[in-house]
Amino acid sequence: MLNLPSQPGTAGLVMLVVGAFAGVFVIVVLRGRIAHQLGAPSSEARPLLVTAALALTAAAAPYTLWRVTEDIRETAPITAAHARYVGAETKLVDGELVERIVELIPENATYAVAVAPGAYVEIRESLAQWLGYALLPRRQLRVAAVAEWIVAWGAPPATLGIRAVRPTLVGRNRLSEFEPVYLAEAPS
Amino acid sequence: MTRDLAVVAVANVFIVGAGFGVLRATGIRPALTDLTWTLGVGYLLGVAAVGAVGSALLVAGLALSWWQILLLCACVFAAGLLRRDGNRPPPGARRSGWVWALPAVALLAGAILAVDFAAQPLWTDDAWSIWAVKAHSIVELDGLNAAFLSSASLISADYPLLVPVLELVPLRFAGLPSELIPLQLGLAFLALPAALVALMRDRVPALTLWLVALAIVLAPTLQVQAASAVADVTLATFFALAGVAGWRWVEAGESAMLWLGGCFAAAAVATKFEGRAFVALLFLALVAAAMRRGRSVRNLVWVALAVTASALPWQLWSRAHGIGNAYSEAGGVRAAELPDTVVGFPGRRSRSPARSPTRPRGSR
Repeated sequence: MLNLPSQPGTAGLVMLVVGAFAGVFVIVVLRGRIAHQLGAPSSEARPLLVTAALALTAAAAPYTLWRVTEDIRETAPITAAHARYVGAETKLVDGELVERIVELIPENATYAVAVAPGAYVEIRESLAQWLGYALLPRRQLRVAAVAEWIVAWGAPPATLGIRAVRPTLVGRNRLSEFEPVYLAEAPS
Repeated sequence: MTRDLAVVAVANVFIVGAGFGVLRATGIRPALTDLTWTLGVGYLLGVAAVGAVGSALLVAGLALSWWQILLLCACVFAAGLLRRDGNRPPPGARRSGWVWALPAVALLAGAILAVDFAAQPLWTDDAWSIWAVKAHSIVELDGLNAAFLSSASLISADYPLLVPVLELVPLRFAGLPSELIPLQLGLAFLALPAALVALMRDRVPALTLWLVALAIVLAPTLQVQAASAVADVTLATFFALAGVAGWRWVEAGESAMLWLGGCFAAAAVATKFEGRAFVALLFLALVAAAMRRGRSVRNLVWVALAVTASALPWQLWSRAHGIGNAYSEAGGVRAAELPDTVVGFPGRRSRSPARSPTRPRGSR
Protein backbone atom coordinates (compact mmCIF):
# COMPACT_ATOMS: atom_id res chain seq x y z
CA MET A 1 0.00 0.00 0.00
CA LEU A 2 1.53 3.19 -1.23
CA ASN A 3 0.37 5.71 1.34
CA LEU A 4 -0.31 3.94 4.63
CA PRO A 5 -0.18 6.48 7.48
CA SER A 6 3.08 6.25 9.38
CA GLN A 7 1.53 7.65 12.60
CA PRO A 8 -1.92 7.01 14.09
CA GLY A 9 -2.73 10.70 14.57
CA THR A 10 -5.94 11.73 16.30
CA ALA A 11 -8.27 9.68 14.13
CA GLY A 12 -6.06 6.61 14.50
CA LEU A 13 -6.00 6.98 18.27
CA VAL A 14 -9.81 7.21 18.29
CA MET A 15 -9.91 3.98 16.29
CA LEU A 16 -7.56 2.31 18.76
CA VAL A 17 -9.84 3.35 21.63
CA VAL A 18 -12.92 2.09 19.75
CA GLY A 19 -11.06 -1.17 19.17
CA ALA A 20 -10.21 -1.46 22.85
CA PHE A 21 -13.90 -1.09 23.71
CA ALA A 22 -14.77 -3.75 21.13
CA GLY A 23 -12.22 -6.11 22.65
CA VAL A 24 -13.58 -5.54 26.15
CA PHE A 25 -17.12 -6.08 24.83
CA VAL A 26 -16.09 -9.48 23.45
CA ILE A 27 -14.54 -10.53 26.75
CA VAL A 28 -17.33 -9.25 29.02
CA VAL A 29 -20.47 -9.84 26.94
CA LEU A 30 -19.64 -12.57 24.46
CA ARG A 31 -17.51 -14.90 26.58
CA GLY A 32 -20.45 -17.02 27.68
CA ARG A 33 -21.97 -17.12 24.20
CA ILE A 34 -18.63 -18.16 22.71
CA ALA A 35 -18.44 -21.06 25.14
CA HIS A 36 -22.01 -21.99 24.22
CA GLN A 37 -21.15 -21.91 20.51
CA LEU A 38 -18.20 -24.21 21.09
CA GLY A 39 -20.21 -26.49 23.37
CA ALA A 40 -17.75 -26.25 26.22
CA PRO A 41 -17.72 -24.65 29.71
CA SER A 42 -16.37 -21.11 29.61
CA SER A 43 -13.59 -22.03 32.02
CA GLU A 44 -12.04 -24.50 29.59
CA ALA A 45 -8.99 -23.61 27.55
CA ARG A 46 -10.66 -23.72 24.12
CA PRO A 47 -13.37 -21.08 24.78
CA LEU A 48 -10.81 -18.92 26.57
CA LEU A 49 -8.45 -19.12 23.62
CA VAL A 50 -11.17 -18.31 21.08
CA THR A 51 -12.44 -15.44 23.26
CA ALA A 52 -8.94 -13.99 23.51
CA ALA A 53 -8.39 -14.33 19.75
CA LEU A 54 -11.74 -12.72 18.94
CA ALA A 55 -11.11 -9.90 21.42
CA LEU A 56 -7.73 -9.18 19.84
CA THR A 57 -9.17 -9.28 16.32
CA ALA A 58 -12.05 -6.99 17.29
CA ALA A 59 -9.61 -4.63 19.00
CA ALA A 60 -7.39 -4.43 15.91
CA ALA A 61 -10.17 -4.17 13.32
CA PRO A 62 -11.08 -0.44 13.51
CA TYR A 63 -7.48 0.79 13.37
CA THR A 64 -6.46 -1.67 10.65
CA LEU A 65 -9.37 -0.71 8.43
CA TRP A 66 -8.87 3.00 9.13
CA ARG A 67 -5.28 2.68 7.84
CA VAL A 68 -6.59 1.16 4.61
CA THR A 69 -9.17 3.91 4.13
CA GLU A 70 -6.44 6.51 4.67
CA ASP A 71 -4.38 4.78 2.01
CA ILE A 72 -7.34 4.91 -0.36
CA ARG A 73 -7.84 8.63 0.37
CA GLU A 74 -4.20 9.40 -0.46
CA THR A 75 -3.71 6.99 -3.35
CA ALA A 76 -6.96 7.25 -5.30
CA PRO A 77 -6.29 10.84 -6.56
CA ILE A 78 -3.19 9.69 -8.47
CA THR A 79 -3.96 10.18 -12.15
CA ALA A 80 -3.68 7.34 -14.65
CA ALA A 81 -0.80 9.12 -16.37
CA HIS A 82 1.11 9.51 -13.11
CA ALA A 83 0.30 5.95 -11.99
CA ARG A 84 2.27 4.65 -14.99
CA TYR A 85 5.57 5.78 -13.46
CA VAL A 86 5.01 5.87 -9.71
CA GLY A 87 7.22 2.76 -9.55
CA ALA A 88 10.09 4.74 -11.07
CA GLU A 89 9.65 7.56 -8.59
CA THR A 90 10.02 5.22 -5.63
CA LYS A 91 13.54 4.64 -7.00
CA LEU A 92 14.25 8.35 -7.50
CA VAL A 93 13.94 7.99 -11.27
CA ASP A 94 12.02 10.80 -12.98
CA GLY A 95 9.30 8.93 -14.83
CA GLU A 96 8.59 11.81 -17.19
CA LEU A 97 12.18 11.65 -18.45
CA VAL A 98 11.70 7.96 -19.17
CA GLU A 99 8.49 8.77 -21.06
CA ARG A 100 10.52 11.12 -23.25
CA ILE A 101 13.06 8.37 -23.91
CA VAL A 102 10.20 6.06 -24.91
CA GLU A 103 9.24 8.54 -27.62
CA LEU A 104 12.79 8.78 -28.97
CA ILE A 105 13.81 5.11 -29.31
CA PRO A 106 12.04 3.15 -32.09
CA GLU A 107 9.93 0.24 -30.87
CA ASN A 108 12.00 -2.50 -32.48
CA ALA A 109 15.37 -1.12 -31.38
CA THR A 110 17.85 -2.37 -28.79
CA TYR A 111 19.47 -0.22 -26.13
CA ALA A 112 21.91 -0.36 -23.26
CA VAL A 113 21.90 1.54 -19.97
CA ALA A 114 24.82 3.24 -18.28
CA VAL A 115 24.59 4.99 -14.91
CA ALA A 116 27.16 7.36 -13.45
CA PRO A 117 28.90 5.79 -10.45
CA GLY A 118 28.03 8.80 -8.31
CA ALA A 119 24.27 8.34 -8.73
CA TYR A 120 22.13 7.39 -5.75
CA VAL A 121 22.16 3.67 -5.04
CA GLU A 122 18.41 3.37 -5.78
CA ILE A 123 19.04 4.64 -9.30
CA ARG A 124 22.12 2.51 -9.87
CA GLU A 125 20.33 -0.64 -8.78
CA SER A 126 16.91 -0.07 -10.32
CA LEU A 127 17.21 2.10 -13.41
CA ALA A 128 18.01 -0.75 -15.82
CA GLN A 129 15.09 -2.78 -14.46
CA TRP A 130 12.66 0.11 -14.72
CA LEU A 131 13.75 0.84 -18.28
CA GLY A 132 13.40 -2.88 -19.09
CA TYR A 133 9.75 -2.55 -18.05
CA ALA A 134 8.90 0.95 -19.27
CA LEU A 135 10.67 0.78 -22.63
CA LEU A 136 8.92 -2.39 -23.79
CA PRO A 137 8.92 -3.68 -26.52
CA ARG A 138 12.43 -2.29 -26.94
CA ARG A 139 15.03 -4.82 -25.88
CA GLN A 140 17.76 -4.04 -23.37
CA LEU A 141 21.23 -5.49 -24.00
CA ARG A 142 23.91 -5.98 -21.40
CA VAL A 143 26.78 -4.92 -23.68
CA ALA A 144 26.63 -1.32 -24.87
CA ALA A 145 28.91 -2.02 -27.83
CA VAL A 146 26.24 -4.10 -29.59
CA ALA A 147 23.20 -1.96 -28.70
CA GLU A 148 21.65 0.52 -31.12
CA TRP A 149 20.94 3.16 -28.50
CA ILE A 150 22.60 4.22 -25.25
CA VAL A 151 20.77 5.68 -22.24
CA ALA A 152 23.38 7.46 -20.12
CA TRP A 153 22.14 8.58 -16.70
CA GLY A 154 24.14 11.13 -14.76
CA ALA A 155 26.90 11.80 -17.31
CA PRO A 156 27.48 11.87 -21.07
CA PRO A 157 28.25 8.46 -22.63
CA ALA A 158 31.88 9.41 -23.29
CA THR A 159 32.44 10.17 -19.62
CA LEU A 160 31.09 6.71 -18.77
CA GLY A 161 33.53 5.15 -21.24
CA ILE A 162 30.94 4.36 -23.92
CA ARG A 163 31.40 5.20 -27.59
CA ALA A 164 28.29 6.86 -28.98
CA VAL A 165 27.32 9.48 -31.52
CA ARG A 166 25.07 12.52 -31.23
CA PRO A 167 24.38 12.41 -27.49
CA THR A 168 21.23 14.41 -26.78
CA LEU A 169 20.31 15.82 -23.38
CA VAL A 170 16.85 14.39 -22.69
CA GLY A 171 16.46 16.31 -19.46
CA ARG A 172 17.48 16.40 -15.82
CA ASN A 173 16.32 14.13 -13.03
CA ARG A 174 14.11 16.26 -10.81
CA LEU A 175 13.83 13.59 -8.12
CA SER A 176 17.52 13.44 -7.31
CA GLU A 177 20.32 15.94 -7.91
CA PHE A 178 19.18 17.22 -11.31
CA GLU A 179 21.75 14.97 -12.91
CA PRO A 180 21.66 15.04 -16.74
CA VAL A 181 20.18 12.18 -18.74
CA TYR A 182 21.47 11.57 -22.28
CA LEU A 183 20.28 9.46 -25.15
CA ALA A 184 22.77 8.60 -27.87
CA GLU A 185 22.98 6.39 -30.91
CA ALA A 186 25.63 3.72 -31.08
CA PRO A 187 28.32 4.25 -33.73
CA SER A 188 27.43 2.30 -36.87
CA MET B 1 -12.07 3.11 -15.09
CA THR B 2 -15.69 2.00 -14.67
CA ARG B 3 -15.65 0.30 -18.08
CA ASP B 4 -12.33 -1.36 -17.26
CA LEU B 5 -13.73 -2.64 -13.95
CA ALA B 6 -16.81 -4.00 -15.70
CA VAL B 7 -14.91 -5.96 -18.35
CA VAL B 8 -12.44 -7.33 -15.82
CA ALA B 9 -15.41 -8.38 -13.66
CA VAL B 10 -16.87 -10.25 -16.63
CA ALA B 11 -13.54 -12.01 -17.19
CA ASN B 12 -13.47 -13.03 -13.54
CA VAL B 13 -16.99 -14.46 -13.81
CA PHE B 14 -15.60 -16.70 -16.55
CA ILE B 15 -12.78 -17.69 -14.20
CA VAL B 16 -15.38 -18.73 -11.63
CA GLY B 17 -16.97 -20.80 -14.41
CA ALA B 18 -13.64 -22.52 -15.04
CA GLY B 19 -13.41 -23.25 -11.32
CA PHE B 20 -16.85 -24.85 -11.42
CA GLY B 21 -15.60 -27.06 -14.24
CA VAL B 22 -12.72 -28.25 -12.07
CA LEU B 23 -15.09 -28.81 -9.14
CA ARG B 24 -17.42 -30.93 -11.26
CA ALA B 25 -14.49 -32.88 -12.65
CA THR B 26 -13.50 -33.79 -9.10
CA GLY B 27 -17.06 -34.81 -8.22
CA ILE B 28 -18.21 -31.77 -6.23
CA ARG B 29 -21.24 -29.79 -7.38
CA PRO B 30 -21.92 -26.79 -5.13
CA ALA B 31 -24.95 -24.57 -5.64
CA LEU B 32 -24.21 -21.21 -7.26
CA THR B 33 -25.79 -19.53 -4.25
CA ASP B 34 -23.34 -21.26 -1.91
CA LEU B 35 -21.09 -18.20 -1.93
CA THR B 36 -18.15 -19.53 0.06
CA TRP B 37 -17.81 -22.34 -2.48
CA THR B 38 -18.60 -20.19 -5.52
CA LEU B 39 -16.47 -17.13 -4.73
CA GLY B 40 -13.91 -18.95 -2.60
CA VAL B 41 -13.04 -22.44 -3.81
CA GLY B 42 -14.63 -22.01 -7.24
CA TYR B 43 -12.84 -18.75 -7.98
CA LEU B 44 -9.45 -19.96 -6.76
CA LEU B 45 -9.74 -23.22 -8.68
CA GLY B 46 -10.52 -21.14 -11.75
CA VAL B 47 -7.45 -19.02 -11.11
CA ALA B 48 -5.39 -22.19 -10.64
CA ALA B 49 -6.71 -23.75 -13.85
CA VAL B 50 -6.38 -20.62 -15.99
CA GLY B 51 -2.94 -19.94 -14.52
CA ALA B 52 -1.54 -23.44 -14.95
CA VAL B 53 -3.14 -24.28 -18.31
CA GLY B 54 -2.58 -20.73 -19.55
CA SER B 55 1.14 -21.09 -18.77
CA ALA B 56 1.27 -24.24 -20.91
CA LEU B 57 -0.60 -22.49 -23.72
CA LEU B 58 1.88 -19.62 -23.69
CA VAL B 59 4.69 -22.14 -24.00
CA ALA B 60 2.78 -23.73 -26.89
CA GLY B 61 2.92 -20.41 -28.74
CA LEU B 62 -0.40 -18.76 -27.95
CA ALA B 63 -0.46 -15.13 -26.84
CA LEU B 64 -3.56 -15.51 -24.60
CA SER B 65 -5.63 -12.75 -26.15
CA TRP B 66 -8.95 -11.87 -24.46
CA TRP B 67 -10.96 -14.34 -26.49
CA GLN B 68 -8.41 -17.09 -25.89
CA ILE B 69 -8.71 -16.52 -22.14
CA LEU B 70 -12.51 -16.75 -22.39
CA LEU B 71 -12.24 -19.87 -24.55
CA LEU B 72 -9.84 -21.43 -22.06
CA CYS B 73 -12.34 -20.81 -19.23
CA ALA B 74 -15.16 -22.25 -21.34
CA CYS B 75 -13.11 -25.35 -22.18
CA VAL B 76 -12.27 -26.00 -18.53
CA PHE B 77 -15.95 -25.58 -17.63
CA ALA B 78 -16.98 -27.91 -20.43
CA ALA B 79 -14.42 -30.49 -19.34
CA GLY B 80 -16.16 -30.60 -15.97
CA LEU B 81 -19.48 -31.34 -17.65
CA LEU B 82 -18.04 -34.55 -19.08
CA ARG B 83 -18.33 -36.12 -15.66
CA ARG B 84 -21.99 -36.92 -15.24
CA ASP B 85 -21.98 -39.38 -12.37
CA GLY B 86 -20.92 -39.18 -8.77
CA ASN B 87 -21.37 -35.43 -8.39
CA ARG B 88 -22.35 -34.48 -4.87
CA PRO B 89 -23.03 -31.16 -3.19
CA PRO B 90 -20.37 -30.20 -0.64
CA PRO B 91 -21.09 -30.71 3.07
CA GLY B 92 -23.33 -28.09 4.64
CA ALA B 93 -22.36 -25.55 7.25
CA ARG B 94 -22.92 -26.00 10.96
CA ARG B 95 -25.54 -23.82 12.62
CA SER B 96 -23.99 -20.57 13.67
CA GLY B 97 -26.51 -18.21 15.39
CA TRP B 98 -25.06 -14.76 16.21
CA VAL B 99 -21.79 -15.69 14.51
CA TRP B 100 -23.18 -14.17 11.25
CA ALA B 101 -21.68 -10.88 12.48
CA LEU B 102 -18.16 -12.19 11.76
CA PRO B 103 -18.68 -12.87 8.03
CA ALA B 104 -20.45 -9.50 7.81
CA VAL B 105 -17.36 -7.72 9.18
CA ALA B 106 -15.09 -9.87 6.99
CA LEU B 107 -17.15 -8.90 3.95
CA LEU B 108 -16.93 -5.20 4.86
CA ALA B 109 -13.17 -5.46 5.35
CA GLY B 110 -12.84 -7.33 2.04
CA ALA B 111 -14.83 -4.65 0.22
CA ILE B 112 -12.63 -1.86 1.65
CA LEU B 113 -9.52 -3.82 0.65
CA ALA B 114 -10.87 -4.35 -2.87
CA VAL B 115 -11.31 -0.57 -3.28
CA ASP B 116 -7.75 -0.08 -2.06
CA PHE B 117 -6.41 -2.70 -4.50
CA ALA B 118 -8.22 -0.93 -7.33
CA ALA B 119 -6.61 2.38 -6.33
CA GLN B 120 -3.04 1.02 -6.15
CA PRO B 121 -0.61 1.84 -8.92
CA LEU B 122 2.02 -0.76 -9.79
CA TRP B 123 4.79 0.58 -7.61
CA THR B 124 6.75 -2.11 -5.74
CA ASP B 125 9.95 -3.06 -7.54
CA ASP B 126 9.25 -6.81 -7.58
CA ALA B 127 5.83 -6.11 -9.09
CA TRP B 128 7.20 -4.37 -12.18
CA SER B 129 10.69 -5.85 -12.44
CA ILE B 130 9.68 -9.51 -12.17
CA TRP B 131 5.98 -9.99 -12.89
CA ALA B 132 4.39 -7.12 -14.80
CA VAL B 133 7.31 -6.82 -17.20
CA LYS B 134 6.74 -10.41 -18.26
CA ALA B 135 2.99 -9.92 -18.71
CA HIS B 136 3.55 -6.68 -20.64
CA SER B 137 6.11 -8.40 -22.86
CA ILE B 138 3.57 -11.11 -23.72
CA VAL B 139 1.14 -8.40 -24.85
CA GLU B 140 3.71 -6.21 -26.64
CA LEU B 141 5.56 -9.07 -28.34
CA ASP B 142 2.53 -11.24 -29.00
CA GLY B 143 3.44 -14.16 -26.75
CA LEU B 144 6.52 -15.46 -24.99
CA ASN B 145 9.61 -14.03 -26.65
CA ALA B 146 12.79 -15.92 -25.83
CA ALA B 147 15.02 -13.11 -27.11
CA PHE B 148 13.36 -10.61 -24.78
CA LEU B 149 13.25 -12.96 -21.81
CA SER B 150 16.95 -13.74 -22.13
CA SER B 151 17.90 -10.08 -22.62
CA ALA B 152 18.92 -7.75 -19.82
CA SER B 153 15.42 -6.28 -19.64
CA LEU B 154 14.22 -8.32 -16.71
CA ILE B 155 15.50 -10.21 -13.72
CA SER B 156 14.23 -13.62 -12.62
CA ALA B 157 13.05 -14.32 -16.15
CA ASP B 158 12.87 -18.03 -15.32
CA TYR B 159 10.12 -17.61 -12.72
CA PRO B 160 6.94 -19.54 -13.63
CA LEU B 161 4.06 -17.92 -15.46
CA LEU B 162 0.90 -18.14 -13.32
CA VAL B 163 1.12 -14.55 -12.05
CA PRO B 164 1.86 -13.08 -15.52
CA VAL B 165 -1.08 -15.10 -16.90
CA LEU B 166 -3.34 -13.61 -14.20
CA GLU B 167 -2.02 -10.14 -15.02
CA LEU B 168 -2.94 -10.75 -18.65
CA VAL B 169 -6.61 -10.69 -17.61
CA PRO B 170 -6.72 -6.91 -16.91
CA LEU B 171 -4.11 -6.21 -19.60
CA ARG B 172 -6.10 -8.01 -22.29
CA PHE B 173 -9.56 -6.94 -21.19
CA ALA B 174 -8.89 -3.38 -20.02
CA GLY B 175 -5.99 -2.54 -22.32
CA LEU B 176 -2.37 -1.60 -21.82
CA PRO B 177 -1.33 -0.15 -19.43
CA SER B 178 -3.79 -1.33 -16.82
CA GLU B 179 -3.93 -0.11 -13.26
CA LEU B 180 -6.11 -3.05 -12.32
CA ILE B 181 -3.26 -5.55 -11.94
CA PRO B 182 -3.10 -5.14 -8.12
CA LEU B 183 -6.87 -5.70 -7.93
CA GLN B 184 -6.69 -8.82 -10.12
CA LEU B 185 -3.96 -10.36 -7.95
CA GLY B 186 -5.64 -9.13 -4.76
CA LEU B 187 -8.87 -10.95 -5.62
CA ALA B 188 -7.10 -14.27 -5.04
CA PHE B 189 -6.27 -13.10 -1.51
CA LEU B 190 -9.83 -11.93 -0.89
CA ALA B 191 -11.13 -15.35 -1.97
CA LEU B 192 -8.89 -17.19 0.50
CA PRO B 193 -10.99 -16.72 3.67
CA ALA B 194 -14.14 -17.84 1.86
CA ALA B 195 -12.36 -20.88 0.45
CA LEU B 196 -11.03 -21.86 3.86
CA VAL B 197 -14.50 -21.59 5.35
CA ALA B 198 -15.98 -23.68 2.54
CA LEU B 199 -13.40 -26.44 2.85
CA MET B 200 -13.57 -26.68 6.65
CA ARG B 201 -17.12 -25.74 7.55
CA ASP B 202 -18.34 -29.25 8.33
CA ARG B 203 -15.31 -29.97 10.52
CA VAL B 204 -14.73 -26.77 12.46
CA PRO B 205 -17.22 -24.67 14.48
CA ALA B 206 -18.44 -21.67 12.49
CA LEU B 207 -17.23 -19.28 15.16
CA THR B 208 -13.64 -20.51 15.03
CA LEU B 209 -13.67 -20.68 11.25
CA TRP B 210 -14.98 -17.16 10.67
CA LEU B 211 -12.66 -15.84 13.35
CA VAL B 212 -9.72 -17.21 11.36
CA ALA B 213 -11.19 -15.79 8.14
CA LEU B 214 -11.59 -12.38 9.75
CA ALA B 215 -8.07 -12.45 11.16
CA ILE B 216 -6.69 -13.21 7.68
CA VAL B 217 -8.53 -10.29 6.07
CA LEU B 218 -7.44 -7.92 8.85
CA ALA B 219 -3.78 -9.02 9.07
CA PRO B 220 -1.83 -5.85 8.16
CA THR B 221 1.16 -7.61 6.58
CA LEU B 222 -1.08 -9.75 4.40
CA GLN B 223 -3.02 -6.65 3.34
CA VAL B 224 0.18 -4.84 2.36
CA GLN B 225 1.61 -7.85 0.52
CA ALA B 226 -1.66 -8.50 -1.30
CA ALA B 227 -1.81 -4.88 -2.47
CA SER B 228 1.76 -5.01 -3.74
CA ALA B 229 1.00 -7.13 -6.81
CA VAL B 230 3.73 -9.64 -6.04
CA ALA B 231 3.43 -13.40 -5.97
CA ASP B 232 3.99 -14.22 -2.30
CA VAL B 233 0.41 -14.01 -1.08
CA THR B 234 -0.82 -15.89 -4.15
CA LEU B 235 1.69 -18.65 -3.44
CA ALA B 236 0.68 -18.74 0.23
CA THR B 237 -3.00 -18.92 -0.73
CA PHE B 238 -2.56 -21.92 -3.02
CA PHE B 239 -0.22 -23.70 -0.64
CA ALA B 240 -2.56 -23.21 2.32
CA LEU B 241 -5.53 -24.59 0.39
CA ALA B 242 -3.46 -27.53 -0.91
CA GLY B 243 -2.59 -28.32 2.69
CA VAL B 244 -6.18 -28.08 3.93
CA ALA B 245 -7.55 -30.22 1.10
CA GLY B 246 -4.74 -32.74 1.60
CA TRP B 247 -5.48 -32.91 5.30
CA ARG B 248 -9.16 -33.63 4.53
CA TRP B 249 -8.10 -36.48 2.28
CA VAL B 250 -5.89 -37.93 5.01
CA GLU B 251 -8.62 -37.51 7.64
CA ALA B 252 -11.63 -38.76 5.72
CA GLY B 253 -10.25 -40.36 2.56
CA GLU B 254 -12.24 -38.02 0.28
CA SER B 255 -10.61 -38.50 -3.12
CA ALA B 256 -12.24 -35.31 -4.44
CA MET B 257 -10.27 -33.38 -1.81
CA LEU B 258 -7.06 -35.07 -2.90
CA TRP B 259 -7.57 -33.86 -6.48
CA LEU B 260 -8.57 -30.39 -5.28
CA GLY B 261 -5.37 -30.32 -3.25
CA GLY B 262 -3.48 -31.39 -6.37
CA CYS B 263 -4.93 -28.47 -8.36
CA PHE B 264 -3.93 -26.00 -5.67
CA ALA B 265 -0.48 -27.60 -5.39
CA ALA B 266 0.00 -27.31 -9.17
CA ALA B 267 -0.96 -23.64 -8.93
CA ALA B 268 1.54 -23.11 -6.10
CA VAL B 269 4.27 -24.68 -8.25
CA ALA B 270 3.23 -22.50 -11.20
CA THR B 271 3.38 -19.36 -9.07
CA LYS B 272 6.94 -19.29 -7.75
CA PHE B 273 9.97 -21.57 -7.62
CA GLU B 274 9.66 -21.72 -3.85
CA GLY B 275 6.33 -23.46 -4.44
CA ARG B 276 8.16 -26.56 -5.62
CA ALA B 277 9.92 -27.00 -2.28
CA PHE B 278 6.75 -26.25 -0.30
CA VAL B 279 4.68 -28.70 -2.33
CA ALA B 280 7.34 -31.43 -2.19
CA LEU B 281 7.40 -31.16 1.60
CA LEU B 282 3.60 -31.16 1.70
CA PHE B 283 3.41 -34.36 -0.34
CA LEU B 284 6.01 -36.00 1.89
CA ALA B 285 3.97 -35.04 4.95
CA LEU B 286 0.79 -36.36 3.33
CA VAL B 287 2.49 -39.66 2.46
CA ALA B 288 3.66 -40.03 6.05
CA ALA B 289 0.24 -39.14 7.48
CA ALA B 290 -1.61 -41.40 5.05
CA MET B 291 0.64 -44.39 5.74
CA ARG B 292 0.23 -43.85 9.46
CA ARG B 293 -3.53 -44.12 8.97
CA GLY B 294 -3.14 -47.16 6.74
CA ARG B 295 -4.45 -45.28 3.72
CA SER B 296 -3.31 -46.24 0.22
CA VAL B 297 -1.00 -43.63 -1.29
CA ARG B 298 -1.46 -44.77 -4.89
CA ASN B 299 -3.78 -41.87 -5.78
CA LEU B 300 -1.47 -39.47 -3.97
CA VAL B 301 1.38 -40.62 -6.20
CA TRP B 302 -0.77 -40.00 -9.28
CA VAL B 303 -1.60 -36.53 -8.07
CA ALA B 304 2.08 -35.81 -7.36
CA LEU B 305 2.96 -36.96 -10.88
CA ALA B 306 0.24 -34.76 -12.36
CA VAL B 307 1.55 -31.76 -10.42
CA THR B 308 5.08 -32.48 -11.65
CA ALA B 309 3.86 -32.83 -15.24
CA SER B 310 2.03 -29.50 -15.02
CA ALA B 311 5.33 -27.74 -14.28
CA LEU B 312 7.26 -29.37 -17.12
CA PRO B 313 6.25 -27.24 -20.16
CA TRP B 314 7.63 -23.96 -18.80
CA GLN B 315 10.61 -25.73 -17.21
CA LEU B 316 11.61 -27.38 -20.49
CA TRP B 317 10.93 -24.27 -22.58
CA SER B 318 12.91 -21.94 -20.33
CA ARG B 319 15.85 -24.35 -20.20
CA ALA B 320 15.77 -24.92 -23.94
CA HIS B 321 15.98 -21.16 -24.51
CA GLY B 322 18.67 -20.59 -21.90
CA ILE B 323 16.49 -18.36 -19.75
CA GLY B 324 18.00 -17.78 -16.33
CA ASN B 325 17.87 -15.03 -13.79
CA ALA B 326 20.23 -12.17 -13.10
CA TYR B 327 21.03 -13.47 -9.64
CA SER B 328 22.19 -16.94 -10.62
CA GLU B 329 23.95 -15.58 -13.70
CA ALA B 330 25.95 -13.34 -11.39
CA GLY B 331 27.10 -16.41 -9.48
CA GLY B 332 24.55 -16.38 -6.67
CA VAL B 333 25.72 -15.91 -3.10
CA ARG B 334 29.17 -17.04 -2.07
CA ALA B 335 29.53 -18.68 1.34
CA ALA B 336 31.50 -15.72 2.68
CA GLU B 337 28.64 -13.37 1.76
CA LEU B 338 25.93 -15.41 3.48
CA PRO B 339 26.00 -13.56 6.84
CA ASP B 340 25.60 -10.19 5.09
CA THR B 341 22.88 -11.63 2.89
CA VAL B 342 20.94 -12.99 5.85
CA VAL B 343 21.12 -9.79 7.90
CA GLY B 344 20.24 -7.56 4.98
CA PHE B 345 23.04 -6.19 2.79
CA PRO B 346 24.50 -3.63 5.22
CA GLY B 347 26.74 -2.19 2.52
CA ARG B 348 23.89 -1.24 0.21
CA ARG B 349 22.29 1.57 2.15
CA SER B 350 21.04 4.57 0.33
CA ARG B 351 22.70 7.95 0.50
CA SER B 352 19.30 9.51 0.82
CA PRO B 353 15.91 8.36 2.02
CA ALA B 354 13.49 7.41 -0.75
CA ARG B 355 10.79 10.03 -1.15
CA SER B 356 7.13 9.37 -1.21
CA PRO B 357 6.07 9.31 -4.85
CA THR B 358 2.84 11.13 -4.19
CA ARG B 359 4.54 14.10 -2.61
CA PRO B 360 5.28 17.13 -4.82
CA ARG B 361 8.10 16.29 -7.17
CA GLY B 362 10.95 18.43 -8.33
CA SER B 363 10.86 20.48 -5.16
CA ARG B 364 14.63 20.75 -4.75
